[in-house]
Amino acid sequence: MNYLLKHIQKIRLSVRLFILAALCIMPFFTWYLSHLPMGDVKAIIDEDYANVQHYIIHMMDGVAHSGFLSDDALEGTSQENQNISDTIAVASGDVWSARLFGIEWLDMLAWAELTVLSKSMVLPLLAGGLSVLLLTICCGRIFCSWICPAGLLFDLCDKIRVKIEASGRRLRDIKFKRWHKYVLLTVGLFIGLIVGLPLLGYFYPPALFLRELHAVVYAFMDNATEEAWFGVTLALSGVSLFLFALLMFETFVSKRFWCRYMCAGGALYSLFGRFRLFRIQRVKAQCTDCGDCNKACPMGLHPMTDALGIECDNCFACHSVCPEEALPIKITQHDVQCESCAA
Amino acid sequence: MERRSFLRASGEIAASVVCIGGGLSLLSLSLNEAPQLDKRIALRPPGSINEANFLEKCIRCHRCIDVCPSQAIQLQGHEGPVAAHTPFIIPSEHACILCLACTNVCPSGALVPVEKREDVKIGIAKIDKRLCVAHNGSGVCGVCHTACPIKNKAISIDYRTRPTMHDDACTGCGQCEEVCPADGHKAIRVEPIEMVGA
Repeated sequence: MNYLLKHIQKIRLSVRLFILAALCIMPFFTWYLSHLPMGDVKAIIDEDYANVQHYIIHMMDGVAHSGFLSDDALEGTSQENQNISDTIAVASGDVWSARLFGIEWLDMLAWAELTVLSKSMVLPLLAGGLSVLLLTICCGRIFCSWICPAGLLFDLCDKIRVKIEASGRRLRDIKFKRWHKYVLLTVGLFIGLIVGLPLLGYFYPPALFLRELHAVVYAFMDNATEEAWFGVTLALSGVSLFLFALLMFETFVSKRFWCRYMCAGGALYSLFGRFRLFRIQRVKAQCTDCGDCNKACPMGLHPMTDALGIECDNCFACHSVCPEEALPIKITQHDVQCESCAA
Repeated sequence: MERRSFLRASGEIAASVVCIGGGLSLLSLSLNEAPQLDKRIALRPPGSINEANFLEKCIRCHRCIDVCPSQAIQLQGHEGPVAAHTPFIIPSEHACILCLACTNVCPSGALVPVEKREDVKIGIAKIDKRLCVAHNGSGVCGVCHTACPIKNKAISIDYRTRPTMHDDACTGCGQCEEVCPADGHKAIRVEPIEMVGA
């Protein structure tokens, strides 16, 4: 256990990279599965093209034939709907909404927006939605630190920031108010209720990033028998521009701008993580007030003065960086009383 | 907390709420001048519920687009923010092949599962007899009848290959519109219907 805690940052990075890799493979996989019953996958395999798409389809074919799919699903060459449904039921989607292990999973923000907009509960989503809710209530905002692919990109921005600053250039770091995101969440849901506009989903980096990825992969694979590079660039929309601008903004103007100040999804996860069971609890006797944890915290919180609150996303960066081991992970529902937060 | 800092904090919060809220509302209202919620503006994928409920239930996850093997389902990008990123079909480019994969993958119930392909009702094909090659006497055709998946029920042809549409059996898949060879404008156009399933 101690060994695991010692290497928790490496474990977290590998979990996130694994999830990112799975999310990147998913569109290829869904493409293959949805085209399998149509017979055009077979046609592509039978033809003698030697391009990248061809190798990818061959790889997918190998995976599918290794006992992963039933023979009935593989055999279907007709347009019978049953075959497509069977193959698709295995896994599809991204972090916004996915089917995995036979359950429909859903992002909390998508769930909130769906509930507010349609003013009803959608029954098939209850299992997945409640699972995510329960996970958030137990473990806090771990979607942000352990799953979110956009968070990984923003971490990359942080790394670039550190590199640039190490070379002597000083970068701007404009601080905004943290409660902007709660205001954004409230107002966004309110607008959804009144106008019927799912505004928050249009500005949710993980969903946007994966949508762009899916569009690119599909443009790439749909032209499996041609040179597809031109079509791939056309598949990118204005959303990529927004994401790119956001990444640049985080690198050069404001550190972790979106996660800290603007992410409505993060705000929702924070609110539900209020009573989380895993918390960082500082041991005052061991703390030397060196301040390394404050610098390491990706959410811009202050573990050194116990000012964690609901927004701690349990990434345990402060725990790993502490030289005195003064920030252990405890199973409790209470933070250490923060002395400086009283004012 | 001192009174002064409390006043200052509440002032900041109020200002921010007004700024963000006002900005977002203005944005959504200005972009949303004509929300055609009651009118279906495009062909929706099979199994779609009525338009107003569809726009509320669709969570824009794009999974119906992912599973569509014929590239029929596309993204709405130009009909204002409410309908943005919702799926729709342009049959003259890629028609629906009625595989019904999208109805089974939709997580939120915007598309409800349909049992048989005959039960799909997303639109009705209308024929313009002046443009149809067989009807205006300029040739022999009948490809719409060949393409129709509900053969002889939705489209029937006579001895001169002149097609006749039967509205009650037509699913609105648009296969006939896709293959129609009429010069210039297609002789067949699928018109979206408002309510589905009946």
